[in-house]
Amino acid sequence: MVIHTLAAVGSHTIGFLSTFGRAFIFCFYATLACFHWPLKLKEFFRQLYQIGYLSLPVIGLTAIFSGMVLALQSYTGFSRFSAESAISSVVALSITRELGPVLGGLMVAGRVGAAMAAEIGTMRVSEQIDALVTLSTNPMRYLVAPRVLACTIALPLLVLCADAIGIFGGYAVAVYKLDFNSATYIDQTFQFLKQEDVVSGLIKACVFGYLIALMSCYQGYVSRGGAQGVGQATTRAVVLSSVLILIFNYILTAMLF
Amino acid sequence: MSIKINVKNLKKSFGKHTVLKDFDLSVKKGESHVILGGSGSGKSVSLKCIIGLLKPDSGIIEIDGHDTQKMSAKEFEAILRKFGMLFQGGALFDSLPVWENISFSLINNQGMGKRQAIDLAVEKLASVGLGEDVAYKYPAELSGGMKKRVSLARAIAPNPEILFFDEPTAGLDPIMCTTIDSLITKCSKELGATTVTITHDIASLRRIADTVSMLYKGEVIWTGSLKEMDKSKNAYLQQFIHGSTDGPIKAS
Repeated sequence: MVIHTLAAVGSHTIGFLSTFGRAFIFCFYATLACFHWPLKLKEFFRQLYQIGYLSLPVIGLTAIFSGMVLALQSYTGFSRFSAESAISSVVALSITRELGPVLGGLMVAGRVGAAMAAEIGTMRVSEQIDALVTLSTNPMRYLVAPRVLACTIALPLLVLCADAIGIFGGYAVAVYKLDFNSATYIDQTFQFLKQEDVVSGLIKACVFGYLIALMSCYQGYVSRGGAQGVGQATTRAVVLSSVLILIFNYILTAMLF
Repeated sequence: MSIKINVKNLKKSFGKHTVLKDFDLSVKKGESHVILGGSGSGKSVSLKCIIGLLKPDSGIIEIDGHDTQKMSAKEFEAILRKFGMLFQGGALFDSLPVWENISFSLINNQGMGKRQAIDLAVEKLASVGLGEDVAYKYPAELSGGMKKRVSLARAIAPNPEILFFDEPTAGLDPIMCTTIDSLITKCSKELGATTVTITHDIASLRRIADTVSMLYKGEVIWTGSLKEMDKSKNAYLQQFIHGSTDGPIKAS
């Protein structure tokens, strides 16, 4: 009984370590491939369009409603001790430092991460990745590097848009629903918003974009077993990307604090 | 004739499951060799080891006398340029039109321009009996037989020295099987290429093979020419080519 338990624990530990090792090696070679020039530009711009431009509506909607809700909730709290004037800076700081990158990252993980894992997973199970190798094309350089670079570049740009849209959402609620003075609200927003607040959010977005693309490409790349395997890879890509975003959000916040 | 592909004592396992044990293969230049075997006998794994998609546990794989196991990644990339491969399901790139699929390696490795790539694709499509209009279609718009022919056109596009065919007639009707087999023979002859085909289709084997190896449970149990195959007294081989249920091979 004890031997069986120990064997099961050992087997799971070895399984976990080998999976972790494979993922680490994949990330290493994927990162290396990003610095291998010339980059597959056509694929890079296709990914930049799909990850960046096509994610704009969903990121915009998330940001505007987050900004609007934040303004309403802050008003509820701050009005209890007559600090309503702090709403503008709370909205701006929350959006730029936290909500923009985190919610943007989670939305991109759901929309783009799933698509990436499904696309690469389908290529894996239908032998298209094997075909790439036989055609003397390195799949890391052709498939993974353009996605990782495009996602790492696109997410900060999306977050920059989300920051502006989110702050506008807060402004709209404050001015049109809570009867704040428009000029005072704008003035207070920019008075307390510093460059490092925006930059720290963009650094987070870069890291999140890199993690989403790596995790999604990895899950697709190692998928096995037909449609079911691709489905599982897609689920794992979204879940692991989201968990990594939350973990790295704390680590980065502590570092940039 | 010189030996083009030489494989000795190839072993490959997945966990505790041994797929290949002492797999040997020798194919002469310009020869059409067929590896025959049932499902799960290790045919696809042996082919994937030879073309470098799987790393064998041990053994020697020589192409033109050079051991591919001892090569650097760059040296092996040069060897890969000698290969053309037709996959069982075609493995065409869904996101690219047919012309880009066919000229893929030349566009990506030699910087071939769009016009030249389209011209080359149209030429290769003609050699597999397909019209120019197919060049602008996407793989999803093609039938199974057309996909196989486009895949064959992609395999022969860079004029490879060695062509590998993984179950080229699987899932096709008898007429299309004959068409694909004659195209394989025609294209290989035109290129002067050495070919290795894996199949369990006996009719197809008789149309394309010069020499045959019978693979059973990861081991080559018989090798010889097509003529020798019919005269062979190997019980496994005879049972397999006649599709009999009586004999040493048990259906699992």
